Amino acid sequence: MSDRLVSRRGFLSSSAVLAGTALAGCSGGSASSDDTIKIGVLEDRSGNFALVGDPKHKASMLAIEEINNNGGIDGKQIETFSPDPQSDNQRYQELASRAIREEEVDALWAGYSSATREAIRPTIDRNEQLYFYTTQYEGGVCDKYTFAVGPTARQQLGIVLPYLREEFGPDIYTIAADYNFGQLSADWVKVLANENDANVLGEEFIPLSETDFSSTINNIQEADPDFVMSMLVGANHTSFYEQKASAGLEVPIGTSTAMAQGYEHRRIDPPAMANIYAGVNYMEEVPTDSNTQDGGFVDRYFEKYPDAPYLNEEAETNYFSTYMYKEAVEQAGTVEQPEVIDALESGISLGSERAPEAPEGETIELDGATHHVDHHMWVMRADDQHNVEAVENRKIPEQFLSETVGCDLREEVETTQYTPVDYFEEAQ
Amino acid sequence: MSLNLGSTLGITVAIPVAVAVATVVAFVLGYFMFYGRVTGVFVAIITLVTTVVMQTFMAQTAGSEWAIGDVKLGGFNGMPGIPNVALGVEGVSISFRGMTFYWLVLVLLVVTYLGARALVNGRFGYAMVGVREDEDRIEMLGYDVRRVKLTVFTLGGAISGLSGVLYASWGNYIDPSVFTLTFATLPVIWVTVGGRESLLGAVLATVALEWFRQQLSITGSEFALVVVGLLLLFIVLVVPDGIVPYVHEKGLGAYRKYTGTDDDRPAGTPQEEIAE
Amino acid sequence: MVNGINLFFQFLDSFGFIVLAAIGLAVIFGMMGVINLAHGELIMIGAYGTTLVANAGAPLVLAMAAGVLAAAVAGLIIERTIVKRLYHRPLDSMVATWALGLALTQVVRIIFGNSLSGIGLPFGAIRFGAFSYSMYRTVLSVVALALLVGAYLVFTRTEFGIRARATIQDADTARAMGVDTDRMYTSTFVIGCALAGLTGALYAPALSIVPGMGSTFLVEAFVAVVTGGTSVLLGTTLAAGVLGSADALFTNLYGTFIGQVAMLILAILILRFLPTGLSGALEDLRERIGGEN
Repeated sequence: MSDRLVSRRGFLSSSAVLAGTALAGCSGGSASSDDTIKIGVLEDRSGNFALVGDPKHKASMLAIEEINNNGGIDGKQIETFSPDPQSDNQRYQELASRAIREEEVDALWAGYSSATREAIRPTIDRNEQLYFYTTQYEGGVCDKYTFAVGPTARQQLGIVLPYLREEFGPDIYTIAADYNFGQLSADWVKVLANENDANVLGEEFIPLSETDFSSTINNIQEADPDFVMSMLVGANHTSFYEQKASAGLEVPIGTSTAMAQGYEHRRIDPPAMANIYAGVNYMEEVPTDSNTQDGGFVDRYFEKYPDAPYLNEEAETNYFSTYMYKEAVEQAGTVEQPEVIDALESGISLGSERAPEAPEGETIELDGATHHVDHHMWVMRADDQHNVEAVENRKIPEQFLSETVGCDLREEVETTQYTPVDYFEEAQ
Repeated sequence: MSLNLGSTLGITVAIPVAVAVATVVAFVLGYFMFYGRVTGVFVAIITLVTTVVMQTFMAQTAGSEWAIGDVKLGGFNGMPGIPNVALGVEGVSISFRGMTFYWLVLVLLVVTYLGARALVNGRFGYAMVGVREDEDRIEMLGYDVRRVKLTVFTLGGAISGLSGVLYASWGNYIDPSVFTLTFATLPVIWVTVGGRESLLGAVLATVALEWFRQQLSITGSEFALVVVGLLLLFIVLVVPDGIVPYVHEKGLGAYRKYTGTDDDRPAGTPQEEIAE
Repeated sequence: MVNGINLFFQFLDSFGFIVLAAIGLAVIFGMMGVINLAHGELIMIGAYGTTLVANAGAPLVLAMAAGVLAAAVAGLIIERTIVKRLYHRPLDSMVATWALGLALTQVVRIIFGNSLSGIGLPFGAIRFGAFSYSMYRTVLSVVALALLVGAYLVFTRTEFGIRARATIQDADTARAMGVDTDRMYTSTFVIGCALAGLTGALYAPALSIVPGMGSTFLVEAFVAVVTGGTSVLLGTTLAAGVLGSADALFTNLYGTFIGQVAMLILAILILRFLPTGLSGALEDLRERIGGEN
């Protein structure tokens, strides 16, 4: 395993640079010719994240096809650069570099996990590349060039936790994946519990590779909470739900991760997901007109991809953010990135007169100061047949960066990620 | 094993420190194994397990309590903001990025290659080849096999440390995925494909394979990984000694035929040592 | 707080998982010296076979048999076409099986998509006061133990077992004595693959059925094989016992992460101080005691 030789990555990146500069030399700085716009879509279609990444790729392609069929953006057709990064962060780094330097994309969508986002952010920032990160995530990224348009942990937990507190009582037990997303989400549970007169009886962090939950189940039974908050992540952790059902644990569970992304309620045999409440901005079952009516988002998606298994949360975010980009370019009247970023920062809203509705709700707005979206959030409950119904919904703005941190990217250029521990006593 | 130190120390100092840390880790691990009389494939498995232990540990270091100096280890999300490689002192320094980084890596590669060549062709090289070919016999001849192995292993660790520094500063980022099984297996693959007994082979195979893998990934084809897998299988089965020794041998044969030099070995004789 | 009953059930769970994760790998590595990096993919094949057949409406036991069969057939093909050529090149066999695993995962993804819908866990729960345990997971540990005993009997008490062990110890002599060593290697490899398939079949109801699911087992499998040492079955049993206890105890006391860390640190300590592994150490001890008598 000793890599005896100096890395070849230098070669690759540098040859990319070489070719990139050469290209830039002839075309005078902008690759997209006057009548097309080039968009980079880097989403996983193989490897560990393919299950959740593939719908993102498909939804981006759907949005681009729709826009092109309706005359493009300001009359310009969209071209795509869409390789498969294979769930590999190193590949992401290479491909992001290539997208920027050789393909000279006008906007970039990339990555499922937070680790991927952090892996390519240095490249993004150095090249001042307009970048959309569309996964629901722990929150706190305040970055001039990054638009984190998925819902944050505070938004997702902020809809489901108060609902469960109201329905079942104040005692919470938290189980979360043992890495950045899980640990920060657990901090948010504490902050929100404090705001809603609830108490966290205990919290437990579980390594991503763990598949045995018998001790976790015992701990929950011992603590006897009114409900559990679960931020478990990935294929391994899915076995928690089957195991707790098999062990006869019947406590209600709130989650920001299960069902909406990896459609566990379709993959696992009922009734393992019964009484699970997901706080989400979108899942296929969200009952809005623009989503479920004839010719709505769901219909259009499955018409284009009849064999697709599910239309997930992140797919919707990829979809509507492509329309947000379209709005911004038309508002700016150019694809030059500084101008488009200015236009995005002026606050784009979907569902207004010009722009189409987002499938998740009538209107949603991009907040120019924080580059985050004020989402329409839903609590979705699965019953013992795994039918999913909406039990609560309302608009929730991004709060952490705007209110607590005071991030304003229109005023100050930053590329930071803030965490709740620096601001809340409860999260310490 | 790519190890990296954060930016706390000043970058010029950080590079030798990072290499030193990797060297020490390799030395300790090597000491454990070779002086514990661990041999053969067990060495391979133990190094793989060590990697996995590191991965499990590093992935959960997201909390702020896990930090070296001011630099948080960052858990699964890794450490962003790793500076470019730079040499020099305050005021007089070069930072390597883009083209200059490429030349730096190329120079380091050539230097490492030449260093390794010199080592292999020197007295110690004979001991190394001896250990590879027949441990018992070389021990009879008075060499300390454990020491030879430990030296080579430690040296490998040092070079890995250097490559880790370059890798981290190339992307200005490092995360625990460098401790995955795949990442640990890849160098074995490159070396096998290029020819285990050929230094040049390792270099060429690494460049060629990674270029090929990247091109496949750019196509976005779902068959990319299948093609890579089958290609590797094909090479291992058909060109067992690796591509470079194979080409070398064939080329030599053609040259002999062309010049009429006699090759008195019967066809199919195993090729002679190419102690590159 | 350590609760004895909880600890016992957690130990069973952990022990069963380690034995089942490792046994296929251990047989192939211990008997043939081949490191099968496609081990996880064979487990995956077993799980896919089981799930597909069960989803088609077959009873679970039949579905599991189909899963084992699928892995065994895959093993036979792999041995005949690839591993057979690499018996004297352990590193090359590592590379080859790694490449094979890579391709297999992706082929399965292309054919069956990113996941299959799962089959529910059979049986119910065992209750004990405020606590309850999944009956199925408990049954798995019993199956693991039965498997170890069965494999032990096969390799020590049957004609086949004696031939197989003879082949491992001294292939030339075995061949001279009329053992078809080629066939022995093939059968051993196929048995190892079938065991991996069985692991996949048994865990199919308990896990998410995705193409990369095999990697779940790899850490435990490799750690158990290394710490188990030279004698395959004894080693696996001891390793699963020791590592499973550490895992269960520390998980119970300090949570799952510490449990995993404790297990891995223990494995490293074992390797440092018992280079021949747990089974090797036990044999040394036995010899020493035997020598004194």
